[in-house]
Amino acid sequence: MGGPARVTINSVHHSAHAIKITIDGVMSRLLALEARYSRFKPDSLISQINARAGTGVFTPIDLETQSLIDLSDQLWRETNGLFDPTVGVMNQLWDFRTGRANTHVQLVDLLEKVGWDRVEIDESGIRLPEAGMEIDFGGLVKEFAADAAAAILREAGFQSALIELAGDIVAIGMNSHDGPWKVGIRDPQGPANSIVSVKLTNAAVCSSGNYARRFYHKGKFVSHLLHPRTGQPIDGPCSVTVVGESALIAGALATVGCLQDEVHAESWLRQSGLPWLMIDKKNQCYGPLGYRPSKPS
Amino acid sequence: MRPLPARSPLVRRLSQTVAALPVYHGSVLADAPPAYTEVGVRYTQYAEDSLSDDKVLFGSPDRYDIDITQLWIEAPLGASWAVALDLQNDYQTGASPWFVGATADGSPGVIMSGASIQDNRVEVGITTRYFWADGNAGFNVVHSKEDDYEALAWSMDAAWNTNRNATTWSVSASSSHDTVEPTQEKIPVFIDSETLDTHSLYFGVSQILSRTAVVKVGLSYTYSEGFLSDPYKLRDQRPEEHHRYTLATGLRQHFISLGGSLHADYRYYSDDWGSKSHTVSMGWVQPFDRHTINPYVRYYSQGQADFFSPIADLTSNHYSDDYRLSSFGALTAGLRWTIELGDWIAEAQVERYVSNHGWSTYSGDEAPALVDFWRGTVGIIWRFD
Repeated sequence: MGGPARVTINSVHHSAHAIKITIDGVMSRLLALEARYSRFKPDSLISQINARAGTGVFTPIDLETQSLIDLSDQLWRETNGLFDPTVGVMNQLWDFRTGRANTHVQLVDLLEKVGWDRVEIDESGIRLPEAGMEIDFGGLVKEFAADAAAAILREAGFQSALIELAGDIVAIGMNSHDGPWKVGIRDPQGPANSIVSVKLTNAAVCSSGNYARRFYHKGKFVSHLLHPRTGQPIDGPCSVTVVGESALIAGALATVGCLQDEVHAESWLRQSGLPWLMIDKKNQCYGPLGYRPSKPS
Repeated sequence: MRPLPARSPLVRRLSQTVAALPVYHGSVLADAPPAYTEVGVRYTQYAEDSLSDDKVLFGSPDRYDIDITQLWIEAPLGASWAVALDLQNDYQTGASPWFVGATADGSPGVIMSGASIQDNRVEVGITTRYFWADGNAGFNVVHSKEDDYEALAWSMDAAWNTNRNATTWSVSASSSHDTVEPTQEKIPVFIDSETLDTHSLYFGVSQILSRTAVVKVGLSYTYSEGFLSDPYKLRDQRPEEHHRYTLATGLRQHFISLGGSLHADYRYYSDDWGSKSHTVSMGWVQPFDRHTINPYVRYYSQGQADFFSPIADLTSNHYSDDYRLSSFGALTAGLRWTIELGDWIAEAQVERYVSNHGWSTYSGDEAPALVDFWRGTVGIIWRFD
């Protein structure tokens, strides 16, 4: 899934063999999810769906994929279409190395290939009506994978563990010192440092941001996240972090936060009712997890 | 680390979309209070057709009209509770059959109850519900009062999910204590005050068959004891106990390609008064953008109670000429429409019910006072976080 994965387990009741079996199970599950949902793997489910775009052929889906589709659909509606798993083709508009628009690609041509509401789903499965359309659940699968890993550990009886998947973290129980797990939220100015620490017990913390993937455009760094209706880089916060019961929901909330300007992002995060942190373009922290409760309006 | 706050409506809405996944089975995502606070008001007008003149021996052929106004509020309380308040007011006017006599040729004819009554009933109900990871449980109390009738009822219900949320088991128990003190108006009544008690049990299970189909089956038993006759009917003397049994099944099948769902239900009823019935209903729910339409039809077939006869047999221990205990069939056709406008939902419903002795699958005698009616409803609902 494009990032490091680490699982920390504390247990005095499980044998080394049992721990190894469980870890192997977790890795198998993570690899299976990557094989299923990675658009970079030609035989993944997502690649099959994308390859059949415009052919009229449906790809069968199961309950797991249907649930991710349902969540995507709910997010699309909650954000009036801003969260759109089909927006990836808009990347063709930009040369991210130079920060310039690709003049040979016209927005009007790409707009025909973008639009979650155009994706067709019925008893046969899912299909994309236009050739060149693509879907990508990358904004959800990594968080779902973290929850799936946590579920395996809980079912195996582990009561103290920490799952870290490239910044999406799920904490089970207390740490080895019988205290909450202490997790640092990355400083966008210096990603090796933590700007804020969060204490977790049976909770998840997920961050979304443009500091890792952004490009220089018109004199400033802008997000790689593009607006699905204009193709323009979204002028959003530098980073959004949410703490929740599950990585999937916390991650979805954080992702949507980064899809909006800072004012609307704060409104969205407040609506979630969960602890959150927003780091703006000036590296100022706002929210219940930050130094300031809210950004001055 | 402070505990996470109660889930907001936004988080509830998102969580519900993935609650079926085994990864989230047993977590607090599985069952949850409503995602919104809901306030609604609904007005229903119920109007019975007048009896045909050839069936009326005496009195006005006009029957009941009832205006029903409902107000409800349902709100989540914290992460695990919900509370609801229901208010209903029924304003009833009109006349009903008093008894059935014989015409000159011996055929039954209806003697109506005389001048129109005016009666107002107020009902108040409160429900609390608790949610946990795998289910929910509720407790409800209802009080209703009108000039000649008062009822106090309580009920408890619980539902729990198993099989990775694919199966839901439901149970409920209820009890009601009613007091009837008929008012002496244009027709004589022969009791001052009587009571009746009703107790009911229900058990049901629903099963998700696929991502588009759910089936359910339920059994219920109801026992009533006390004054079960109709005090406003001259010739009505019913047993003081009544055992009732029902079996209900249902199917909800969603057709993704059509974007709509089929609702099919069957109910079988039987009691120790000798009455049986079948109910078959079919409906279709079709969303269009912000609109949803729901046409439905229902067929009902009833067999008469042992002590029913079109002209009451007063030589028996129990007797009644009440058309509601006769053998008849009925067809209902209706249409419900809703539109969502942001946080508001407007709804309207119209229904036509027609009954006929010849439509029953059971043999028996024809009651001359079978009822036909129209029912129309409009309502508006406001949902907010």
